[in-house]
Amino acid sequence: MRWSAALQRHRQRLERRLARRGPQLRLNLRNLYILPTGFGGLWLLGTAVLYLLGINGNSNGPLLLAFLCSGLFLLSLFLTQFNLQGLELAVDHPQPAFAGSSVNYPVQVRSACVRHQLQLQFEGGPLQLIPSIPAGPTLIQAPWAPAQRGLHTPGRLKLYSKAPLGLFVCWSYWVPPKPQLIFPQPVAGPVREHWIPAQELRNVLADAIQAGGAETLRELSPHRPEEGLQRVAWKQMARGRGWLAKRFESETTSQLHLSPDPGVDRERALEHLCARILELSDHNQPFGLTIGGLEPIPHGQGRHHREAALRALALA
Amino acid sequence: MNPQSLRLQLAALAVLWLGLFAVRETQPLALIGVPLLLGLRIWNPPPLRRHRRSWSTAIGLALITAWLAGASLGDRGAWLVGFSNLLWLLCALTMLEVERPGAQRRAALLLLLATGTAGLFAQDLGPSLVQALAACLAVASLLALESGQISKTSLLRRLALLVGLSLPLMVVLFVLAPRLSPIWLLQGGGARTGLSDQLDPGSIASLARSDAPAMRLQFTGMAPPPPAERYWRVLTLNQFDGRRWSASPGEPALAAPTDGAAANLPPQINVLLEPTNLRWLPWGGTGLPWPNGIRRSADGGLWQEEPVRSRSLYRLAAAGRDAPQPWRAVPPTADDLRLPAASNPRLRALGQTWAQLPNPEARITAAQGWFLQQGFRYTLEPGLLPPNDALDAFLFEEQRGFCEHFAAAFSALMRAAAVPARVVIGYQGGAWVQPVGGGHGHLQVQQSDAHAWSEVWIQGRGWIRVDPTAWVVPSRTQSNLFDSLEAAGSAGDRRLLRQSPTWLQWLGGQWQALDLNWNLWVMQFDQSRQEALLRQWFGADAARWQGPLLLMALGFVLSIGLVLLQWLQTPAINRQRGQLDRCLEKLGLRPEPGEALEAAVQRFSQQRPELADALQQLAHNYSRLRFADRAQKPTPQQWTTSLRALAQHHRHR
Repeated sequence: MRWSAALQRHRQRLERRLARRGPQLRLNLRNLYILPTGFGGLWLLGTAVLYLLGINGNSNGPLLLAFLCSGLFLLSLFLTQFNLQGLELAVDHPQPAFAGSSVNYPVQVRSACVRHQLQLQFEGGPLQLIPSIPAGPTLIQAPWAPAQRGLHTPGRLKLYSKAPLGLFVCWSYWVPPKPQLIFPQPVAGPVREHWIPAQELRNVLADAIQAGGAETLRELSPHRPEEGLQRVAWKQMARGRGWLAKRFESETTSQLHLSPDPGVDRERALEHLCARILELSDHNQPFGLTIGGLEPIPHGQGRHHREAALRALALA
Repeated sequence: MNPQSLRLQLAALAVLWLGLFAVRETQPLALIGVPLLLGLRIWNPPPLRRHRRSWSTAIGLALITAWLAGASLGDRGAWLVGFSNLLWLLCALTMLEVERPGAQRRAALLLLLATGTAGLFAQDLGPSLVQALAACLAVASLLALESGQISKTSLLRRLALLVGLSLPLMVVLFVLAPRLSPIWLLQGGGARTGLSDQLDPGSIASLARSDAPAMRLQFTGMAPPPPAERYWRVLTLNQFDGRRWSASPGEPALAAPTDGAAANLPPQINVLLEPTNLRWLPWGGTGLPWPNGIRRSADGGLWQEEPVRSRSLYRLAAAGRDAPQPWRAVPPTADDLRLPAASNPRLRALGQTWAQLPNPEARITAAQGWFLQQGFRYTLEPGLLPPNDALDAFLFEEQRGFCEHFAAAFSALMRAAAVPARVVIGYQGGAWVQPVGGGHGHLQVQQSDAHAWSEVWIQGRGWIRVDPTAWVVPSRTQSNLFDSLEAAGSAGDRRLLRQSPTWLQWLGGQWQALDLNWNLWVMQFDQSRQEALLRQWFGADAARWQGPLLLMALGFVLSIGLVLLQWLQTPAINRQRGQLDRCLEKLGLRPEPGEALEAAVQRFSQQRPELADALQQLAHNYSRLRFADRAQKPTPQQWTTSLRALAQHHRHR
C-alpha cells in the first residue's frame, strides 16, 4: 500500500518534470518519450515463438515471418516517433465556457506532413482522438473538465500516438499557459431579484435617461402572444416582416437587478445567477447585476452585457 | 470495434484457410471448422451478438477438450500437428469475440502465429505466397486499427510502405542473424510416396504412379547427363531369397566424410529431395556429398543417419561424369552370388546353360539375346505372380511386367550363371526444365521415374550397370515412361498415368523452376549454408564478426529506409522549393528570412539584370506549381527547364 503510494508520488513528480511549458512547443527528440506498449511486448513474444518454431521445425517459413515481425517492430519504433516529431503546438484564444461540462481548449497545430491517429488528453479530462491531421495548420479542440469557475489553465496535456501498428506509444507532455475563463455551471434555483421602480429610477439614474420623449420607439422585437394586439407593429407586418412588437423607452417602468441569494451557499448562489442570466438573455430581457464586493453591472442587455455579467460571476 | 480492421482479419483468415489445403497435416476438423466459424462471424446472428464471450468460451473449451482427448489417444509424435490444427481453429474462434481494439490486436497477432505455423508444413512457392498474403492482411488489420477510417487506397499505400521498408530488414536478419541449433526437433511432413527398401515384383498386380516431384537437380559447371545416362541410384539390394530382393541387414560400410575444402570443388550438383522416409539419398554415383552428415557407402549408396522426413537439400561436389567411382571397384562377397537352391528351377537351369560361356560379357550378351527373342511385354498391369517360383512364372509363362520384374529376373539369372549380380533401385530419367528468360535450368525427376536395374561384377571392370528393361523397351531410358508405353502400344497403361496436356506441362515446368529457386535459395538456407556463405564473403573468422556485422547491416538498411520515408512523406511542393533555393544559392542569391519569393526575385533582378528573365520565369512557374489549378500547373519538364535556364548562368560565370 505504502509502496504503491510512493510509486504513484514518484510517477507524478516525474511527469511534472517531463512536462514542457510555454506558449508553443515543437515536438522533437528532447520532449518526446517512447516505450513499447503491452501489445508490443506480446508481439515480441509472438516473434520469439515463430523463431523457435522455425528453428526447431527446420523450416524457413516461420523464420521469415519472425524476421518480418522483428523488422516491423524495429521500423515501427521510428514510425511512431516520426508520427509526432516535428509537430508544432501553439495556444490559440480559448473561448469562455461553463464549468461542469466538457470544455474545449483550442490548440493550434502545424504539421509539415500528414499525421495519423493522435490522441490528446488533459490530466483528468476525457480522451480526444484525432484520426488524422493534414499538412498545414489545423485547429484542434482538446476537451477538459474544469472543476470550478474562474480563470484556469487546463493543466498538463498528454499528446500521444500508437500509430502505425500499436507496438509503441510515443508521447509528450505540454502545459499550455494561456488560461481559459470558466463561468459557473448554470443551475436553476432561487435568485434575489430586485425591481427598481421607474419613479425611483428617474431619480437614481437621472443622467442615464436622456430626454427625447418617453414615447420614443426604442426597438422592434419578436412579438409574444401575451403582449396583446396593441403592441403589434402593423405597418411592418403589412410589409411582410412578420409579427413584431413595438417597445418604447418609457416602458422601462422598472428595472430588474439580480444579486446572489444570501440564503444559499455563495458558489451555489452564483450558479443560480448564471442560469437566471442565461434565461433572461435568451428572452432578450434586460437586467443589472450586483455582487457584493464587485463593481455593479448596470442595467442592460445584449451579447456584450451578458458576457460582462458572466465574467463577473466567474471572477467574483 | 473497427469494422475495416475486422474485415481485413476475416479476409486474412479466409486466405489462411485456403493455404491450409496445401498442408497435408490439416485435419478435417480444422478444414471444416474454420469456414464454419468464419461464416458464423459474417452472419453474426443476434444470440452471438449478445453473448459473444460465452459463445467463444464454450466452443473453445470444447475444442481444447477434443484436442486433449485426441492427443492422449493418438500418436504422441504428432502433437505439433494437433497443436497447429488447434491454433488454426482457435484463430477462427477469436474472430467471434473481437469487439474492443485490444482483442482485435491480439487476434491479428494470433493470425500471424497461425500463418507461421502453416509455413512449418507447406514451404513451396505457392503456399508461401498464400501465407505471405495472409500475413500482409493481418498487418493491414493492425494498421487499419491505428489509422481511423481511411480509404482503401491510402491503407494499401501505407501497408506497401510499411512492408516494403521492413522487407530489407527481414532479408538482412534472414541472412545474418545467428541461427540457433534446434532445441528439439519437430516432426515435419512425412514421406508422400517413395521407394521401399525391398523388391517383390510378384506381389504388385498393378502399378499406379504419381507425377508428384521426387527430386530436382541443378547442375553448375557441367551439362546434365544425356537422357540415357540419367540413372539416380538410391538403394542397392543384394539379398535374394528366391522371391524378394532386399538390402543387406545391418549398418552399411561407409567411406570417410567429405572434407570442407573438397565440398566446394566444381562441378557441382545441387539436389533438392522430397521426403522419402529412407536413409538413402539418390545420386548419380559420382561426387563428394555435402553436408558432412551424408556419406558414401561401399555398395554405391549415399547414406545419412536420419531418414529424410522433410524436404532436404544436399550437394555433390566434384561430380563430373568422369570422376572416380570408388564403390565400383569394391569386390563382391559371397552374398552377391547366393541363389536359394529350392526356388525357380527353370531360371537356374537357364542361367546354368550360360555359365559355360567363357566370360561374363558373353553371358550378359546371351541373356540379352534371350530376352529379345522371347517377346517380353512392358506393362504396368502385369497381374500377380504365384507365391512359389514367381520369377519362373514371369520368365517362362507371363512374360509381362515392368522394370522391377526385369531387373529382379535378370539379376537372378546372372547369379545362376555364376556372375555376381545385384539389383539397384532409384530413379531413371528426368525432364529438363529451362526457365524462360535464362537462368539455371534443372532436371525434374518425378515419382513416376522410379526404376530398378541390375549391376553385375566383371573382373577388371568392377560393377557394371545393365538395364534389362531397356532391351525390351529401348525408349524407356531415352524418354519418359509415358512415351515408352505409347511405343509398346498399351493404351490401358497410359490411362493409369493420366498425363496432362503439353502446354500445361510447360507451365508446370516453369512454375517448378521458380519453386526450385525459391527452395534452393530461401527455404533451404539453413545454419550450415549460412556459415558457408559468411565464410565465402568475410573469410574464416566470419562467425566472430557476425554480431557486429548484423547490427551494422541493420543500421545501414534502416537509415536508408528512413531517409527514403522522409523523402516520400515530404510534400512535392516542399521539395521543389528546396530545388529552387539550392539553385539560387549556387548563384550567390539568398532570400531574406520572411521575404516573399516575388519580392526576393525583384531584388535579385535588380542586382543581376542578366538573370532577370530566367528568375522571373522560375518564380512564375513556382507560384503556378503552388497555387494554380491542376490543369494549369506546369509539367515537371517545364519546371526542370526553368531550373536549368537559371543553372546555365551559374556555369557561364
